[in-house]
Amino acid sequence: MPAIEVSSLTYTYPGARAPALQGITFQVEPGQLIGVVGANGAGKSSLCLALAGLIPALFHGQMQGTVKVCGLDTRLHTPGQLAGKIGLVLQNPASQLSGMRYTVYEETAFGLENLGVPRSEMPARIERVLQQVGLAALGERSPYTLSGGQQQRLALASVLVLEPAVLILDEPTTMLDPQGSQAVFKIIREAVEAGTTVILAEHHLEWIARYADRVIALAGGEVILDGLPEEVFSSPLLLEAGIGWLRCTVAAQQASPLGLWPASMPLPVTIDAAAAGFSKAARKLRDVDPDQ
Amino acid sequence: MLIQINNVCFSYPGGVEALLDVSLTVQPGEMIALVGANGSGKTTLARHLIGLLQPQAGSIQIGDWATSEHAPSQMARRVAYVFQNPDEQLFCQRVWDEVAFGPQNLGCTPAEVTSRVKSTLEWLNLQAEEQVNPRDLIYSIRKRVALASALVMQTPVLILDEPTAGLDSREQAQLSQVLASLRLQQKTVIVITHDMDFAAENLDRFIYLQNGSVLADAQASAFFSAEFLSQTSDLIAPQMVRLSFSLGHTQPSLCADQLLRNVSTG
Amino acid sequence: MSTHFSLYQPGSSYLHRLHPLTKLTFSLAAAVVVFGGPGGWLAALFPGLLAMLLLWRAGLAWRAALTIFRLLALLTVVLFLVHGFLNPHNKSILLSLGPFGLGQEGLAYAALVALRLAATLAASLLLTVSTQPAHLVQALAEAGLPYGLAYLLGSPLLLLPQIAGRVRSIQAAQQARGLKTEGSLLQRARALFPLAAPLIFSTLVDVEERSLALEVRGFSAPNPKTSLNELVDSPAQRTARWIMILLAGLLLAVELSWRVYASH
Repeated sequence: MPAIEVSSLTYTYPGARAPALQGITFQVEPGQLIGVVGANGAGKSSLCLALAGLIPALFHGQMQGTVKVCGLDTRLHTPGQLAGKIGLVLQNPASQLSGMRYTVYEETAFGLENLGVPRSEMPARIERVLQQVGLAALGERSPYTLSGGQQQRLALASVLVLEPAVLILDEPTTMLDPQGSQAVFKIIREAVEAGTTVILAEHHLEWIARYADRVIALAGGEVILDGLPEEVFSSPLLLEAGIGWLRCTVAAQQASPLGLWPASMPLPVTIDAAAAGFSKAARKLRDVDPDQ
Repeated sequence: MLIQINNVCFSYPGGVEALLDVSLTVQPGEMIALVGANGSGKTTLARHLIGLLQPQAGSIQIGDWATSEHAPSQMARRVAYVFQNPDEQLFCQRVWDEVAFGPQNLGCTPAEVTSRVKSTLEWLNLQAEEQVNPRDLIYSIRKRVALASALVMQTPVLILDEPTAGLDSREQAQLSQVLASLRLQQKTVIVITHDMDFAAENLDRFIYLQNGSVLADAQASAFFSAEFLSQTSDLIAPQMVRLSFSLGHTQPSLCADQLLRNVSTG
Repeated sequence: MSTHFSLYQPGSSYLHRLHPLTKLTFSLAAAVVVFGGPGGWLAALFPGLLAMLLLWRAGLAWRAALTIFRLLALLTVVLFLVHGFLNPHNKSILLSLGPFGLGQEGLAYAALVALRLAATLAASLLLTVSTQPAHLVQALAEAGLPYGLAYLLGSPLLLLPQIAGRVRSIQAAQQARGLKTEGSLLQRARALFPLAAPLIFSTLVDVEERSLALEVRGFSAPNPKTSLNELVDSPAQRTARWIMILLAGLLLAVELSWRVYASH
């Protein structure tokens, strides 16, 4: 059974003139890491909220089509019922704190309490997940004394402790510094390795290009590309849609007509692939002209 | 306008040391990237420049004004600051009023206010949103409104705090153009940023703070050639720089054109 | 970086360890006695002193006293002025200021009102200083109150944590646009107006994001909730609660019947 099945999803916010999402259709197998990219306003956040079942439950508006996560139709289940299966992490670390708990440890327990997990099971699960996100030493600290990066890891912990089958992240690194971002990406990768299906909406294309199994590109609420990172990140559609290419891809494209990029190689979407290609072209040039 | 930062020390109440003996000179017209991990003192230093914070030791001069002798509302005539979070800066019902707020506080005549607001909105492509309530705009456009409301002040110095955070590539290109204009106008621009790719393509001088001290201060090319870059996790070098080093170049390239030139010369 | 601003002070005093319902009962009973008990002054004084004594034993008295002072100082001054000059029962004038006189009866009344407010505040601080809002909510829910209602009653300070920090950020941003915040009192007052809109807006955006985060963590899940911490209750505390309720009820009944008797 696919982890996520979206079928002809069309959604319009209440009072909006145009739909935020149009005719979206795709399936995701369990354990995959899917990157979602798009210009601002293209529908990344709306898609994340729809996958989490918060659209249409909390936002109302008009929705057509279906979204099924772990076989559950999001229109037939309330967010409360979906909470244990789907996790959602948003952009702003501080506004994801419940505000009702005074320590990192208790904040992590919040979701377990809501879902009625027996008290005896809680300590083990909390300790495991705090280890996972690297906050084990800060268990007794107040969540409000943590740095932004630590708070974002706490947001991840409080969702991962529920052991969701699907984890959705909407631009989780926007407010973080490189160290904070790398820590979040590492936790995401480990979750995928443990079998969690992850949907990651991001502007930081580089990490997605390197680690995602698949990339979905949105423009104007529609899916314009859906495929492997190598294919999506070198498609001209990305440029038209305002999403842009990675710099190394641009460099290779400019290099191609100059003979500095091998004609046979596809455009690179990672630094390693770019280095390999440029080296190969350089060797070829040297072979052609041995005096150089 | 010359900026002189002399031996500035500052700790927050509660004892957290934010700046330890920082000294810097910024020449008029420089385009600077202020980089470092969160908590390294970047924002603290920037707040000192508009007088929101006063150093416990040392002094700061913007031109001939010492920040200790002028209130922040006065300093606003020389230094415009765009905060990272636009929602903390926007408070008017219409974009027009928002952008007009600054010049009105500066005492411009109504005619001047109108002309400044009009030209700034045109510059940043916000004419269509003129009568819109900023709260109805998406995040990145709210950021642009916040930027407009600082640019309209026409100060010699501009500080931008994480201006590219949350921006897509088209919006970043627009920001690039704005910076290019500011460069032509010889404004001094200080950008606090984590986005090294953007910084390498648009800014000249890199000042790297760690734990309240200046660890490095150099022009882009020298900065990215330095040893420490490979040892720190505070910064991620731009793609072109990493690619240059992967290819064994001695000098890091800061943009694609430069890389291709270096590649073609072998 | 914002701090968790709230009246609750983490600690391990005996007060902290008491069951939230015991403390809640004390606060409510004290309020009933203060405003509805016999003896005017004594009815106000006794519960207030008792509360301060209990707080003192827990090492929290200073903190409570400071809070009471901060919250009531200005109000008390206003009370004294208003009732001192304008109370209709004023007969013996202590001090004359032109056509206005400070009346003894008015001052006495103001003092009584101030005392009542201080006593009620002390009794409720006994609850809020030593109880995490979440534990109070849990206690109410365990006692049978619907969870939504319990949450509403137990977490009134939910939004305060970040408001203080946010106010500072907004003021800084506005100063940077040339808004004069220093100068005459009038200027400073005027500078507060532009504060309201961004504060409300960013708080609302924050509230919306927070409610999404709460939903995602099962806040509105249909099953009964469990709790990480066990709230320790005891027969002694249960008995004490009943005694407090009965005592407050008794004193109220005495006062009410006295008033009915006195009006005949």
